[in-house]
Amino acid sequence: MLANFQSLLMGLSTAVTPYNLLACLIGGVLGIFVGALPGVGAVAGCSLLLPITYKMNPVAAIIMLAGIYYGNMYGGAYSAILLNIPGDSPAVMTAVEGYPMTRRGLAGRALFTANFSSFVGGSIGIICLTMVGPLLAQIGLKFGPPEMASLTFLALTSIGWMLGDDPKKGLIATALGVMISNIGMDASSANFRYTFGSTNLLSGISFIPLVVGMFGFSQVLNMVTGGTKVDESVHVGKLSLKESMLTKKEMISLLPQCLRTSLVGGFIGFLPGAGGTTSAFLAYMMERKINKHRDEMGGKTGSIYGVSAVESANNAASVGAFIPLLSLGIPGSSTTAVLLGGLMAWGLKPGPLLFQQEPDFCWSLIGSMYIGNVLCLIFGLAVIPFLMKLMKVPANILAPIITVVCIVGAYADSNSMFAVWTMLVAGVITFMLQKKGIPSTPIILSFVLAPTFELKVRQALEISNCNLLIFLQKPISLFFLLFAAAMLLAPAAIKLVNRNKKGV
Amino acid sequence: MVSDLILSVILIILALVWGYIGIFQLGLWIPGVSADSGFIPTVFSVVLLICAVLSLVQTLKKLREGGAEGGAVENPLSNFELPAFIRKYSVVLFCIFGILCLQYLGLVPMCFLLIFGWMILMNRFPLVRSFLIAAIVTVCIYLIFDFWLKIPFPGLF
Repeated sequence: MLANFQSLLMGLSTAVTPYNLLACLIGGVLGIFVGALPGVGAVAGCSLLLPITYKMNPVAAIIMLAGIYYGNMYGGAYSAILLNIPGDSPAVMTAVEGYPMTRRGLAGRALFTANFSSFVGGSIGIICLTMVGPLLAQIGLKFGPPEMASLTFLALTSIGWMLGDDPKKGLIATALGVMISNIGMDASSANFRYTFGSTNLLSGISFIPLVVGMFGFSQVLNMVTGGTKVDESVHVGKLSLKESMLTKKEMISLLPQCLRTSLVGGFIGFLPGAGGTTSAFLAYMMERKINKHRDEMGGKTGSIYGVSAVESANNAASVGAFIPLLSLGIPGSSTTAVLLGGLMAWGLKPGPLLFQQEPDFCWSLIGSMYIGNVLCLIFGLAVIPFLMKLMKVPANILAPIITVVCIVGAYADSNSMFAVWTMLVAGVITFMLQKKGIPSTPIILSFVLAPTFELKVRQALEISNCNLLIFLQKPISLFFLLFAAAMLLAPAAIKLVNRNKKGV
Repeated sequence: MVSDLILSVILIILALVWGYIGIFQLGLWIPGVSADSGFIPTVFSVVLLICAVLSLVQTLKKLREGGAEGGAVENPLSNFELPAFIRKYSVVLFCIFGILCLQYLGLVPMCFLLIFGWMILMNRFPLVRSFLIAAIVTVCIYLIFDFWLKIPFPGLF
């Protein structure tokens, strides 16, 4: 531990050289900006900005890349809060809690909460990376396919907690999400499924056009048809940073939950393949059950506690994903897979020997994360007044602009016109389903989680020669399954207890 | 109520199609090896089927109760409002127009024409104001997505 601390100090001294500091700042600012663009998101953002680093020295290049990466995590929340268009899948829950706050004129507070919680979550993730990174990576390796399948199943079943009064509708939404994710090539057998002869469907439905349509374009339809009154859809909130800030009491009340959700996020983040979405979602669900302010959460009015839970978990997970990347050479998410490409382009070989062979590089990167996190917080807070001014734009002007951004964002994802048509169809269908009380959030969450779930279930069955008991024989997997069973049965049990109480 | 019925029927058909392909075309199980490509889709199509059937039964019950109590069965057009209907579909038409513009003309004409047309036709804004808004947004979108991020948009311009 002490040796790690000394190495960190050495890394910090390298990271604070003016050149590296500038690289970190530019990376962070660009990352925030690109992350905030609807439809671009962290993966595309990192990929698009990767070539910028090619003209730099390796340490500065990687520092800049890391800055882009966690800047993206900060920025992903902005479009979710302001426009109801999540930049990336973990930000789906941020949109659920943050956008209702924007409609109540509290966008500034939501943005401040997102920045504050991102900072706390990111910091806890970096501390974990510094202190116990290699050790955690070894624990992560104990998560084989059965454990990962059960963990994802737990995440899928916890969607049930968001279903509200009619569980049927939530289940319909969950099943629809899984079924949409089934379209395209089956990752296990390379068979094509549910393509109905269309070449466009061979690679499946992309996440970005789907989410842009479901959250962005359906929002435009709501605006213009009176579901959201056009002139009242976006209220002008308080414009200065000072007035957007949380009170000292609120920040103190957020800290324990930030710590909890960051630990959950960091833990899930370092599991290869689990990613920020699972962590953000599970942390949010956990807070909806145990938080003192759980009644405010749920998306009707929006809550700083909901925004905070998602953002701290997401940022901790995004840093946590560096643990398997650096220690084992396994990318924990698709964005870290892009970073892996960047590292390899510089001749670095992430893996168990990286910390021994390239200590300067590793510790400079970790050191720059501390600095980058502070820089992102400062920049994130500084742009709040400008973002708030954006909210002064009346909704009837905003609606066509959002439509254009939806079209451009959907196209930018894969440079395909099919993606744009997908966005349109997703928006119209979501609008119709919402009118029938079928929520859109479970659709998108199950769409994101289902491929991992299916892949891991089939891998687990493969290694056990089709023995379904494998999920019960592994202790970690059994724990997650029991937890999932409790989540599924709890609503019925609570109902029964309440009925008995009334009977008495 | 009638639209609920239609939705349930559509979902049942979707679940049946998904399940049929899953069971008969993709296959559920490769004995001794693993689950096949149709396993997970079939499981979730069954979930959808059960929920949709329950939803259908519930809706039919409500319809019957409404009929038995002498209450009029809801007219599907009772909540129909022409202005809202036109507004909703004009937005979809604007979006389709935008997509076609992007495909055949390019990014700049799409942005400008969509926003300018929307301002004039939907918002009834004056010509100059509409022009200015459309021009400013088009320049911003062009600078970010085309000039900076170099996304290869289709079309002529």
